[in-house]
Amino acid sequence: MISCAYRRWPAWLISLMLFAGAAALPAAAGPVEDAPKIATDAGGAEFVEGEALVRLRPGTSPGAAAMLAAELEAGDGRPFRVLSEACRRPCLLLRSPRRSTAELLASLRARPEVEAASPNYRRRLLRLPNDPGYHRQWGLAKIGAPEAWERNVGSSDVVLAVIDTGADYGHGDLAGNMWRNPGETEGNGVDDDGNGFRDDIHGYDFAASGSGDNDSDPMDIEGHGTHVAGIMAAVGDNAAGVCGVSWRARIMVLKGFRPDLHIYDSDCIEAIEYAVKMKRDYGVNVVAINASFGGGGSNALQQDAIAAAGEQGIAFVCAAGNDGTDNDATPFYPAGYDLPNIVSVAASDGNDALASFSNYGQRSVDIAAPGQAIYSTVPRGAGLEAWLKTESDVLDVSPLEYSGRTGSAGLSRKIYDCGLGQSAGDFPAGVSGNIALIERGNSTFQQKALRAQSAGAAGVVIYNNVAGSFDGTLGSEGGWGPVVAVSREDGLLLRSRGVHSVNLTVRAGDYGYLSGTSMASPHVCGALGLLAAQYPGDGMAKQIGRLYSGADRIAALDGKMVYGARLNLARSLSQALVLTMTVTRRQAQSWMAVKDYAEVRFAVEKEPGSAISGETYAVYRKIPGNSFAKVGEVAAAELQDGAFTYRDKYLESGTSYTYVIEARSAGGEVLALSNEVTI
Amino acid sequence: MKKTVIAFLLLSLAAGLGAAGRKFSVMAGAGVLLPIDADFKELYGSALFCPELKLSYEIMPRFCVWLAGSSASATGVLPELGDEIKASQTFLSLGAGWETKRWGRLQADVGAAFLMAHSREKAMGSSPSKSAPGFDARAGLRVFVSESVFVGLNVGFAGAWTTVDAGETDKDIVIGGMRIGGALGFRF
Repeated sequence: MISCAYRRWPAWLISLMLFAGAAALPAAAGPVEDAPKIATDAGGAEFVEGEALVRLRPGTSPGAAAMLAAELEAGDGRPFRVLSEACRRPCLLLRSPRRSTAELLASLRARPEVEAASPNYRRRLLRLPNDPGYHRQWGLAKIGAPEAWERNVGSSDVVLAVIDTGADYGHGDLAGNMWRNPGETEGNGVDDDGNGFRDDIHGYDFAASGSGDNDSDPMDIEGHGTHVAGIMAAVGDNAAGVCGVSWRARIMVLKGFRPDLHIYDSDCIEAIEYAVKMKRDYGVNVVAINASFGGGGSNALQQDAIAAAGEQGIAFVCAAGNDGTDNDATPFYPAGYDLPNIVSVAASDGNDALASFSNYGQRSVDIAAPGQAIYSTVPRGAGLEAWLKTESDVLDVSPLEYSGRTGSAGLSRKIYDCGLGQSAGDFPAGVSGNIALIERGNSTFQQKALRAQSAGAAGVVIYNNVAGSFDGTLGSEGGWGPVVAVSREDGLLLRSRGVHSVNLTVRAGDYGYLSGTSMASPHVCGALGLLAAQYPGDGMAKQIGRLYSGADRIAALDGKMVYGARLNLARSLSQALVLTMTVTRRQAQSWMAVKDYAEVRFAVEKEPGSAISGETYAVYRKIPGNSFAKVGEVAAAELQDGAFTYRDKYLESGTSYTYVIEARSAGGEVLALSNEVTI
Repeated sequence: MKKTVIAFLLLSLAAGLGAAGRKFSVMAGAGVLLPIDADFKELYGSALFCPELKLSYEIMPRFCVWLAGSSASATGVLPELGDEIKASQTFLSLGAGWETKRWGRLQADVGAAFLMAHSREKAMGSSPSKSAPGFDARAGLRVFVSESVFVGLNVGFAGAWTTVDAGETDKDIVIGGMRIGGALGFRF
């Protein structure tokens, strides 16, 4: 805070000085200003390059400001009149077209008349969406989405495709973000754009019937696809429902699941072909395809189709599977294909542990993302919404996953404090036919709900054992009655009132909870959408590199996947150092011997103003069935024009090799990882 | 080791035939091998130092049989990787020759021989080697310093054609090339 102790200068004198200074300043260059050039200081704070905010000492002679500006070639200065009067000393902004901020500050601080000088920092808008269900989307906070949204909330120029059970494209939280084929007229039964598909407005249904016959309507047949689509790109900040990782990306719906709720590779391949065709031939900016499904059995054609998508710069984000098994030992496809555009995603829980159901694989699973009790869109009327009315309040409650419903009128009963619900003794006799209020802790939600049901409770309210609200699951379908969660604050309020009447309503809604790697994968897909919006000029490999580079290394995930890390969108979106790698397989021939070698070329891009120096770059290599091992190291000083070509020699012909580059700071901290390339 | 064995055999032969009445000659010389294989030249240079030891025995006037061994080695750099590489070529020839009458101190000779050539290379972490048959043809001119001692100049060609495994395909190589050299000889 600026000190205003000097009050002996009359306001008119300050005004005169500033007027004189301003009058002496040359006129501004013109009415149109260029966008300010932003630089970053050592602490990561952003400021306008070439500008400085200056406070002169009391007693500085009139006109000193103008002289100062002239001497520093900062003619385009701007006085702060009100502030100067309040503080009784001149305060102004200096702007130099020739000098950097560092040079300006050095000069200013050396002058006796300057009391304070600092960069013209820019501050972030602390932006959270106003979607009422946002507080239930714990995964978004976990991946740093709010910080990321301060930089970018997504772009309607980015298209994310989802191959799934379809999607409820009329959902209020999705409709605004549905991709719309600009070349197609809805409902005229004509293939207007000549892409081979009639009336493909939001995508296409590649598996309309049991035989896989197609039609133009990709409406969701189960709910899974709508949930996945909402995680990726539900409309954000629209004061309704939830928000997606990307608030603005467009969703292309490629329904691939047949009525038997299976997707067949033939349908999946057609869906991929569609996305590839729309990007290649029609210029639709498909950035990534989400594939929240999988199974055993490798299919060369499916792999080829995904590779073809990769050639068009389309990432293929896959769920790792929900069997809790090791994909290295039991391959799971399509997540298991060894392709550079595949990102295989495991599920993490709220504590950053691998979710109990999630598959893993040190060699075949890339990264983790939130996948347990994820709140998102479901087909209209297929979800749950809930509240608890007391005599004076309407409390926000979260139905636990698999919770039963109450009917539209709700359940008007008395609520009884049942302690921790640990044993039958915790449940008073009166709770039978009424609602049990139970504190979270010591046993699972399922166990608490079972005990309450045994005691005859018609509904269960579980309140948090720490401050704030929470979400949870009952584990599986089980004919549950209504079971909801409330915050500790609301729980204590209910308890303090003793036995009293409430109305608990859990009824059909448009949102709901689901768990699975199916929910983890769209977090990553949405993240790629946001990266594409922030860095539209970067290719797929670089975007995937940013994704991996920014991920949080988590000890509990180490050894469970390639990067041992959980998605961190905020860091990925603001990587100070980005590595991009290309690898070319070549042959070296002496007189009598022939050997393959890999030309591993990586480029290092540092954010402007980055203070990173003295870093090292390690080249890692793996062959199928093995883990990455370091084969070489390059010092920052060896880079030429920010790039280096490392030659990995004496490779076995016929063996495939996968490479990745890791950048570490001088202190050993991992700064960035490159994309993976397999040759 | 191989060179030592060859030298030992040649010297043993010389010793065994020592009392043959000036029908036996031994020559030790050195020269330059000009490899014919284009890839070899590119990697190792177009001229290699090549010492040689040759024995001959006159089986009838002006006709002789001869046995010669020589070797050349070189070091190069693999351009793609910057690695140092090494190669050697070893030749063992067994043939027949014809000598002209002496013109004062001068005498010319020609010869042809069956050649067994051996090549070896150390490159990119491996040491491939190959042996192949070929031929050796040469002509020379001697100047007798005395009845038993002469110096000679000779020019010839020794080459063997073969293939080596080069990944998906075989590669043709030629071991040897033109040789020009001088020698100091003794006739026993």
